[in-house]
Amino acid sequence: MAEYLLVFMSAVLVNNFVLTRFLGLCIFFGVSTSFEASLGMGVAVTAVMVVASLFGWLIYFFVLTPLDLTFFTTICFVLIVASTVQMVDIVTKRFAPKLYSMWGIYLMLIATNCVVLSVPLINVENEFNLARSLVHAVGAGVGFWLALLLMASIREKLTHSEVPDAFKGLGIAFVTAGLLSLAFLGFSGMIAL
Amino acid sequence: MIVLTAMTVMHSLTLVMVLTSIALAFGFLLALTAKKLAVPSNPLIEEVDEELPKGQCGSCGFAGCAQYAEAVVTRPDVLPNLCVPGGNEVANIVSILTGKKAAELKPRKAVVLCRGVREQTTAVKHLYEGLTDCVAANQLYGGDLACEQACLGFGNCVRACTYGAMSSDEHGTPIIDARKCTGCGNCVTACPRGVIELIETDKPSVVRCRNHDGPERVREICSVGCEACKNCVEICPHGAISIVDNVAVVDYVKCQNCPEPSCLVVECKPSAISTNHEHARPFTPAGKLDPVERIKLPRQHEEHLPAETRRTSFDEVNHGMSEEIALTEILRCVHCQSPTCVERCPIHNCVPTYFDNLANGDLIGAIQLLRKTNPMPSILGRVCPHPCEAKCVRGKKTESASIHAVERYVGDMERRLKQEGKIPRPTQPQGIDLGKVAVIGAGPVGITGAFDLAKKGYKVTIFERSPVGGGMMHLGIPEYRLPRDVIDDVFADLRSLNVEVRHGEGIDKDRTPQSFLAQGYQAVLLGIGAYKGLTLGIPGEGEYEGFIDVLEFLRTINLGDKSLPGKKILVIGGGNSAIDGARTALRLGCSDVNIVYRRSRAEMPANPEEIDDAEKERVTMHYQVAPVRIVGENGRVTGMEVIRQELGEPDASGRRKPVPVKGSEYIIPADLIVPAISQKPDLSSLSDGHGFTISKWDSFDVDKNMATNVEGIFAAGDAVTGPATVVEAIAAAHKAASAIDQYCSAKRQAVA
Repeated sequence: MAEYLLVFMSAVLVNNFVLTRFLGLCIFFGVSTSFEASLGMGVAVTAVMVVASLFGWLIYFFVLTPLDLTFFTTICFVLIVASTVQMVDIVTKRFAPKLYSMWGIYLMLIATNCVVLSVPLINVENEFNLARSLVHAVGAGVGFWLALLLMASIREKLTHSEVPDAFKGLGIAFVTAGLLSLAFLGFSGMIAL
Repeated sequence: MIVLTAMTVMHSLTLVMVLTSIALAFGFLLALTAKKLAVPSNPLIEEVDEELPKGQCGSCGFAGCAQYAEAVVTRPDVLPNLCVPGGNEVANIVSILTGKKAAELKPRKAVVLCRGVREQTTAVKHLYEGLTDCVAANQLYGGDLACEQACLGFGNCVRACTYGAMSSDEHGTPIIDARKCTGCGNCVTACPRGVIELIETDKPSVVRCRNHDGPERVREICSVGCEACKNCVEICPHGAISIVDNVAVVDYVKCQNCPEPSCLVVECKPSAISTNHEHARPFTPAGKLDPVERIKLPRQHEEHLPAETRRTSFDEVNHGMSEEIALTEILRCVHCQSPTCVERCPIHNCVPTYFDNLANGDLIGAIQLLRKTNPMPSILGRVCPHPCEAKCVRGKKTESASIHAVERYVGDMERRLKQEGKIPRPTQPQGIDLGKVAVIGAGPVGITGAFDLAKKGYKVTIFERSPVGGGMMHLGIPEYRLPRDVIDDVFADLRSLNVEVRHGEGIDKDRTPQSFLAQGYQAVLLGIGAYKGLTLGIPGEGEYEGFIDVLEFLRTINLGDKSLPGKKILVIGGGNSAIDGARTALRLGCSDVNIVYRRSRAEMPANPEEIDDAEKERVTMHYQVAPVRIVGENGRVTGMEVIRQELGEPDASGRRKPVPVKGSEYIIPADLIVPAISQKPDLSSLSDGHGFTISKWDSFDVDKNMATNVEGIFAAGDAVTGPATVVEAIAAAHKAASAIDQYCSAKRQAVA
């Protein structure tokens, strides 16, 4: 149990996908202008990551490895992620219309996103078992969500503060992201896997 | 080796099969889920979605049109009137569909409140900083413009517009096409300087300047900035304008949207105040015609007299379009995104907009709009070679819209309404006297210059050498193309504008242009035209009688002498004046009329309609022949020897050069030879040492403001460019008139 908790915390804090691995930066800067949008986006990304990890793990260990086609993983996973997004879209629309109205429009934005693709890839590269993969995916999603929410709260405050002209807009956003990233560096070495 | 290859093939095959099966599996799974789990979509949502304009502008606050459609149907708190571009029309439909009620929206349009820093500017400095974005420029250096409140001109707003309603002028300042602007406000958000504002369309007057640094600073940095002179504040009868922070501001609550706004008549030197009248008219596309029907409509034609009747009479050949046909023709305009006709027209007639006015039944609006750029639509509709039509998008596949015919229709309607007293002729502003200006020549330049200046409040006097007004339009263009009452109507307008026309006076050796300045005229506009025919330079020229330049020939006839010049006429040249000469000769009763042109019919510079008409009237055309020598007997011309030419090898410019065919010479018999090859300005009336800089083509050298090197004397039209069209002369005269106004107001300020 402790091991799973470690995997989770590692994905959330130590190896945060945005702030330490620098993945998914386009959504990170694009969506973090509003807190509400970040909330929806984070949930959508987490959901898609978990489902994509599940499919990715199954296909990698039961199809690609026996047939010696592991070099082919990346392309295969692109296909999986895109289909997963589509499927999550259909399923939530049917069974959770409330949820869908919250993050439905963000789903299409992550159909070809690097952070969603990277999680199943990291899972299989490290040869995690299925449970560990799923925990890792949830952790990655929560980490992404955390980073997005932190950034969104800061940026909402920033709009009301006196930023020097030269830094207004994306400029100050990058500076803030850099500082956040430095802060997250403090977690490294805390958990050793 | 073979085994290895076989293994590779096997491996690749597995790869393809695996990929295919995974793709198929997912596809199948997706199809299944989509089918099994499909949410029965609300047909109402789709219906609402279809009514929305699909600009995806986000003005409603939702991510897109589909999201808004869904929200307005499913959520009770979402109002049906949130779609800004759709306006009341869409709001009504959505209310009916959803059963929700909402207050009526006031239509709004975006208006640019700055015209960019002009002339005295450092505006281009940031170009070599590599900037292409207003926000970046604004943040870095405040844009580095002389005016810190001015439009930066990188076009962020243009890029933000999802309706294609915005474009940039040559300075980068945005121009808003009111017909396409939906009032969504994306441009307002995109502008880092707040130069664009949304204004309710029934509040028309706006001040197009935002600089509040005070008049001295404004004068120093910008030629079009508000100088807070209070002229407009004093004249507004509703007290709607006030000076706030050194810049005039219109109070939209008090502004009454006067039909003839007095704030526009006032002397605003930089013309910083302007109305929003074009914005005020909501656009309904011409007759809501189905696009397919629109494309299928064939080009409508003007009514022509039959060739046999017209070739012997001076009655007008072209009878124009009837109301019904003209109103059908305007439906052919497809309202392309950036109207190429407006761009090509030298005076930039706002073609699609006045077409719309006509389609909406607003003839007066069409007349007013056309008159803004064009002082004589009735004349231009008849004689303009309409370069706009050559650029018309419709002409690429089928035939262009008949822009000149509609222009003529509007002009003729205007003339009729004026003569019936239903609309007033233009008048001078009351109580404004800006001094005297002299205009030399009553041609297109003189008329346009007099119009523009008289409307501003100058007392204009036109000096015309010949006994008739209209210049080349009267002396060069024959009656059957331009009836004289059309020209007379223009002069009636000029009289109403208090313009005096003095016939029989002009410049000569004793009365130089400079002498007018000494007589108290503040400025002189020279529009003396190009009347001197060029010579052919072939043997026999000038040796015999019966040789007369086309302009001389036409002038005699147009001044009333309609005696028979000879039986057989030979005209040399391929321009409009050559055709005019030949067709006029026919009408005088000449039995045999020939035109000699050195290139082919397709290359003739005359209007194609004119060539067509001439051929129908049985003018004999000799294409691709060159004059060799004039043949004569007993001191009179008897004919001209010509030689056939064929197109030879392409020359340096890539055009195939005509080469004479040896031994193909023949003689065309003629009693009268009329060369119509080109003209140049006749400067013999200027005294020697007149002080003007003259170009090598014997025309006046002017700067970009149409000013000659002599202070206070401006020139425009054929006298500057050599023989050209009426419309080009008008365009130049507009420019000259505004330069004269600037020159005079600068002088007035210096005195004050």
